[in-house]
Amino acid sequence: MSGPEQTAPDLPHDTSLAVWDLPSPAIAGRRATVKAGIACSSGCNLSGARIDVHNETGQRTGSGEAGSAPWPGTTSLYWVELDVAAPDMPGECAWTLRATASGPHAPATSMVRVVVAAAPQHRVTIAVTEKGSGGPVPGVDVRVGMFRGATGEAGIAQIDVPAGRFDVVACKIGYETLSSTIEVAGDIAVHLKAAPASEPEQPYWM
Amino acid sequence: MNRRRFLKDGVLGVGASALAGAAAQEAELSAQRVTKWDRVADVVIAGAGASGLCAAIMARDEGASVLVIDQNHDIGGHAMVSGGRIPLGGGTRLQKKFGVEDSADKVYLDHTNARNQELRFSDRDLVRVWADENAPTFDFLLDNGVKFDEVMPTLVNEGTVPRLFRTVPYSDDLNVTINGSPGSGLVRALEKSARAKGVEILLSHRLTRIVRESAASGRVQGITAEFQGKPVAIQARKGFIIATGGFTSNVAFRRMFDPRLTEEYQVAGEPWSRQPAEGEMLAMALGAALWGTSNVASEHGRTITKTRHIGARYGYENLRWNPGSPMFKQAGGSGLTVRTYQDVVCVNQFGRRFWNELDDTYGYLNACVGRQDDSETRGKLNGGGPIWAVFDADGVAREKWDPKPPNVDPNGWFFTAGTVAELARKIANPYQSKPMPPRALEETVAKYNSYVDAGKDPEFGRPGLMFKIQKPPFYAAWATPILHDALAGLRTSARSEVLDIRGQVIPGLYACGESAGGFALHGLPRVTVFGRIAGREAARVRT
Repeated sequence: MSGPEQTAPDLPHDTSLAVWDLPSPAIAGRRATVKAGIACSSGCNLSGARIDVHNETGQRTGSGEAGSAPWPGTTSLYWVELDVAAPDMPGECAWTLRATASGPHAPATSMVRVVVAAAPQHRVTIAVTEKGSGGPVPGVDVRVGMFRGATGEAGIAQIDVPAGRFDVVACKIGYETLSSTIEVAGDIAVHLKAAPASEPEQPYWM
Repeated sequence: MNRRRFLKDGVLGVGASALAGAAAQEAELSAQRVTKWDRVADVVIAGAGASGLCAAIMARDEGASVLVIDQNHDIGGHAMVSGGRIPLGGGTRLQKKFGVEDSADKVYLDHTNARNQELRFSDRDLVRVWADENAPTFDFLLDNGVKFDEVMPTLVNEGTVPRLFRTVPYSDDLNVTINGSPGSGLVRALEKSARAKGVEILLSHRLTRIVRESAASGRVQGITAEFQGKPVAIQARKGFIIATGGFTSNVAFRRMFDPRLTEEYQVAGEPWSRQPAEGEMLAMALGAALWGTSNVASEHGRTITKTRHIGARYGYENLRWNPGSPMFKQAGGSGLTVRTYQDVVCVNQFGRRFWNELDDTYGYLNACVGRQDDSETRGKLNGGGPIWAVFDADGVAREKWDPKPPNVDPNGWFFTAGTVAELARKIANPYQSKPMPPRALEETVAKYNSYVDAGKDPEFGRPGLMFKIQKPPFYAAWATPILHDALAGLRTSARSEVLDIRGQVIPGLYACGESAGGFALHGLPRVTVFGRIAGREAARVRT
């Protein structure tokens, strides 16, 4: 969440957090990395700002200081990659990130929800071919439950998952989105046929 | 005062008022009466778009002298930037060239099918004459130099016979074609033919009044226009044709049909062509009726459309402004073309999602223009307010967007920030009535991301959730629906004469194109046919 919304010069500058590259899912008992950045509404340089991660019991599970260069594409998002301990048991947890910066800056907090999964045991090999031509389709984003991957040049994605029943979704611009359900009890191969999506009725002109 | 006296005085009073009112009206009319015409022609036309140019050429072919005015600095109207799709059939020369058999009856039957949800409210008197004039009009276009992409025609509009041919852009010069659209091949060719045949075209002339013998009766005698702030009176000896292009740009007028269509909704074709309803309003002041008004809210066709090019003011799906266009400065940006709404979430001005973004039906559009409010703030009572597409750096990469000018317009229509909260703070737009609450947008994005984790969207049922919105920078792009077709307008006879609210012809007044109502057919096939009919009928008037 963002800090208090005050803008007068003698009041603290608002700051806010972005949290990205969260593990999705985190693996129970393992460490995970996550990126976090802090920005000032006045565009101040917040390099050196401290960002802590706390678990639901208030225990600090990761910490770091924002680097000196803003995140690419932004003018003043100062960021750090944090190493965070994931819970030991599968389930859903909440991490609270708190950023404190020097000077007239209000602290910023953000709560993110993280799904924790058991360690993968089996490999799902997903081959995506084009309906009709039968050729491989590279660059397809694939998710098996919470676990994610993408097909390579051969149109194949390999995603490791624990045992269980999973929804599979495969998506690429220019193709219809594919979905199915699989039961994983060992290594398994899945073949998906992607149909090119129909183009708009009319093109546009410029 | 006794009852008899009261009634007597009362009646006399009312009568006196009425007489005084009539006298005042007559005096006003007398003051407005044109005593000297600056220009004269047999047929005068307001609007040099596809319909007006067809009317002009046809009237000239019939031997009339013709004068056309247009408020724009150039001819073409909306058609200039259109896709040039002209599905006319009935046995055109090009249909025959490709071995397609068709007839006027087939055209009529195809466009009067009760199952056709877009067309079934149409006036079949108009559809019948339109069908009969399909082939002659298409061949008329060929005869007047319009070039078509000569490939096998295709089926459209739930038709049973291939009829769709598309014009080709007039040239490679954007100063000529304005945006390189195929529609330029229609209107520039018609302009060339019209001028060659002796049609006079007065640009930058705004229609200000239709002059009739008296307010409620008599012939239309001509018009007044304004050119560089000065009035110009133009006599129309045989008839005056309204071809001003519809009403979509006029907020007050369009809200007569759908009160939800408030000021935030931009219009396809702008900033090149505006459709401010001036022809309709001036005709209505003479007692003209509107026709086919239900078509505007039939929820079929292209009255309201989902934005395809986001992050710029004008994102109509089939018109992306070219940075090389002479109109680009006014357009402000081309927009980022959305390949899939899977890469964005759409939020209202309060930072809340409101519908499944992947829905391309009127369900989505109704949600956009419907009541949008917030638990903390009372929303707009009419219209839905701005809709913003919010996305992240990963979405940009998947869509292969370059989110910078000239692709986007940072002057109120596109914003970027390092955090979601900062993004909300930055959004400022003429139609964003209050700042977007940063926490609301943060909550919306966090909730959506949790749905992606869960693989289900319990709020709006968006299917196939794949991508979180989490990697900076973050973006907010104008994605408010954009308006297109008028689909209603002045009531006309099968001869394109304007009818009044009693169903009587207003002598000397004609309407065609988007300004004429009663037939909910999208685009050029309707406006070209009725333009040609209006020009012919006006020219044939005996004076």
